[in-house]
Amino acid sequence: MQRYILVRFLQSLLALWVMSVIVFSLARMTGDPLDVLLPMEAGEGERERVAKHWGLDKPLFLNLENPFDAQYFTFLGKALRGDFGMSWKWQGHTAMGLVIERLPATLELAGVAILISALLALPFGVLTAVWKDTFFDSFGKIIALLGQSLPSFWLGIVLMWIFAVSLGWLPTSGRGTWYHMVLPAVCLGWFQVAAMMRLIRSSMLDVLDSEFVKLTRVKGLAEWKVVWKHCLRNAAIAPLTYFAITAGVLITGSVVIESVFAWPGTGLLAVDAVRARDFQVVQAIVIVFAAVFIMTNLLVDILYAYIDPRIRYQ
Amino acid sequence: MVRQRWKGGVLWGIMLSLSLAGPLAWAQTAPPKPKLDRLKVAVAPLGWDTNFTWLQSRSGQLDKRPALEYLIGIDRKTGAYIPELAEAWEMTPDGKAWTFTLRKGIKFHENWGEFTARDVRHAIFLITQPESVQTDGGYWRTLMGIEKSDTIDTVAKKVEQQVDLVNDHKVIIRTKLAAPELIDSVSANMDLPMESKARWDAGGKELYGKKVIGTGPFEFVERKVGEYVLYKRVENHWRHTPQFRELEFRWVSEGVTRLATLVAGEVHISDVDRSLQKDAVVKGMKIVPSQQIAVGHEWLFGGMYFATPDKLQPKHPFTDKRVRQAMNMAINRKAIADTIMGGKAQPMLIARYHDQADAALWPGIWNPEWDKRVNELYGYNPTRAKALLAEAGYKNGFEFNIYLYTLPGLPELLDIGQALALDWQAVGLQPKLVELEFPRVREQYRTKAIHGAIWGLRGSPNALNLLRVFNRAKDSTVYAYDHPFIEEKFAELDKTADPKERANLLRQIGDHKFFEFAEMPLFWLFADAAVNPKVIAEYTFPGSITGFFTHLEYVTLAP
Repeated sequence: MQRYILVRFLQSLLALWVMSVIVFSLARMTGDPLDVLLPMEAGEGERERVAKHWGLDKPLFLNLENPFDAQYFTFLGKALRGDFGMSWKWQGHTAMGLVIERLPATLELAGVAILISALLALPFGVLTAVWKDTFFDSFGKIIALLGQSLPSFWLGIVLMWIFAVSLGWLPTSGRGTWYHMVLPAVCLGWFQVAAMMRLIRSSMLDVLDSEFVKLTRVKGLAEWKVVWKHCLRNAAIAPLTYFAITAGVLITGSVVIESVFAWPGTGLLAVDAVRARDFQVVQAIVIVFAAVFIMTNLLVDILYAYIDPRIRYQ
Repeated sequence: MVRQRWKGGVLWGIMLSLSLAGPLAWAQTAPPKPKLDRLKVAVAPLGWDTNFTWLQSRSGQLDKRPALEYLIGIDRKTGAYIPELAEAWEMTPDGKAWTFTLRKGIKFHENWGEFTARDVRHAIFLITQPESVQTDGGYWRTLMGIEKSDTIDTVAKKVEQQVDLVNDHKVIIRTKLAAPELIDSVSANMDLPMESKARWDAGGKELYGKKVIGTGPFEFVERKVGEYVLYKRVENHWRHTPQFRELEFRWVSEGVTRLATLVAGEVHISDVDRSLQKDAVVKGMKIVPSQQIAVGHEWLFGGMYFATPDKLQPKHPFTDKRVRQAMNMAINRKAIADTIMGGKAQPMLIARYHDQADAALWPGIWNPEWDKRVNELYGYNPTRAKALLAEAGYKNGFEFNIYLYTLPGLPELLDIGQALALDWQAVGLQPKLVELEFPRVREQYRTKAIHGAIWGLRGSPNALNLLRVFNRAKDSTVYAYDHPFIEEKFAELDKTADPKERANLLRQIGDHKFFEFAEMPLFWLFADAAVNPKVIAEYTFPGSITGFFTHLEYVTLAP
């Protein structure tokens, strides 16, 4: 077991390093940051001056004279110490400082979205399986279909227009009270509700048909106990794994929702940083997101290994 | 039986929750009676979100303007230069020295002392220091004789030598080159706000990063990065005391959300996209246009390097004047203005030349002949366009790329590009729409490698600024169209500081560009502010200042 965890941990570090190379390269492939950083009127002298100031005058990966005096190695060396440099767009702020400052807003939103998805998906998933082929099951299928097919951008705008503009019940955007959280969290959580609900339903259907369930009924156990205790426990493995990954997706996947609702989290920060070609911030966000995702997967793998003893690295 | 009871209980629970949720939410969020303490303005996030005035380009100044003032102000109705922190100014005949008499008794916020000549010198130091990326930074460095290798100490020394402090309220700015238009460079149109030298001496850059401190009618309270900037009014401000106590700029990325925040009453002024303005009006909001034209929009021919023949591809169709005229005449400007811009556009005859805006600096720059002949030479005429193409040897047209990308302030650029393609197809040309990132385009025109492509730009009015950037053969950044004739006129411009002579030279360059069809000028556009008329009775802003939403201190609240 220890060997398994060690191997998965080393693989995670490797994935993180590969991610650093990818994000560094892709960011620079989109064009010269000086073309965004400097005004249109800036001449060659200005370009040279600013390039030197930000270290953009050095080679990207390979410096034949001094192999480690290249932009990538400077980035990697500092990144290992948690220093992703100063932001270009948000002058006076460090890139990692900005990510840390915005992370609570994203975690808050993701947390509520996860809560919504868990609270809705679990009962709906179980009940649609129990009441298979009834009106309730069809209703559940429609909810799932809508959740998985409606673009979150569109859904966000429609909900905003109904509940904030027309009814005036909730604020349109921004962050402050918990009212501000309702619409973005519902939008963010709905897709996951739909996915998780379907997963729970299919797992429950498998379990409901099994022999041990029939036995519990024959033994005269109350129906609610059969469903919520014995069936759900056995059907929970697949949804649990998915749920853990979902948490990673929700934390890292709030880019669109945060833009629509002007929610000041890391997703909106990522969009603004990409628009401004603020490489430092983009790199910091992607590495943090990647780390969250990799760590979530690592935890899921470890959890899996505990639940299913057949999973081991030989 | 148990199953049935349990099923019914769950359904009742869901229905009860839904029936309670609505009224509960309503009761808890019912808005209080409006009482405007804080004027809220929703705008798209700027390229920068910082308190440093020199570490951003001009458009990034918008959220700092309420706290700042300039030597020369801009009249909110006419766009004219008016005294602000300078009461009077005078230029020497050679255009190399400007004397400014400063207003007395103006205090910086937070007790940073009285505004004096030292602060003027300090403002020039800030914009010319090595790390400055401000739009006008390069121009000021040239004026001060600052080299690219100069350290911050050398910059400080050079600025000290060039800016004479006659006394606390009189300052002379000496420039290495003639700068007859310096009045514009020190005005609120540009990038030289007055900041406190005493504060710099006390805490340097670190202190400057914490707050924006100036002499303006609003005092900085707080910047929440990525969310908002908050100001409070200065009581009994020397120029004007705002009617409301606080001012908030709120960053909202999406256009639809900006509209929603306005309609829902969460903000009072909003930057609503032109395509959504009708929806705002339907919901009872009012669209307030700027007093002056705000943005010029033109499309350019790639590779017009006549003054640098080594960069010219002489066989490309664009080098033929008849082709350029044909492409201009194929454009149905009125249809584009009516359908895409909602009819809110003013014709532009030569890229960024404007009869009224330019006349303030160069009286006589405008040639009435341009007005008389514009229909004959540029008017929509597909038949004539086809004939010109045939005459030039392109009866069957030719292929070329139209670059499409997004630019802040002109979201319609993609639609306009597509409309142009249809117009050119109609006269037999074969345009190909190519979507790409703007920095890629910028890289191409900066390196004179944009041959055979058509691309669009937008920007503020000022003929000379555009010529300096678009039409110089070297030491420029946007190489769009250069020509020996224009080079010759630039050489003459460098020798004279007389506004009339300069106007005459600019007019000659204008003639050349107009009759050579150097570009495809399209429109002048006004800036629009969507306001809630229940809260705002009057908001007048010039629009000519980059960022548009200025002069907020003069907003009159509805009774």
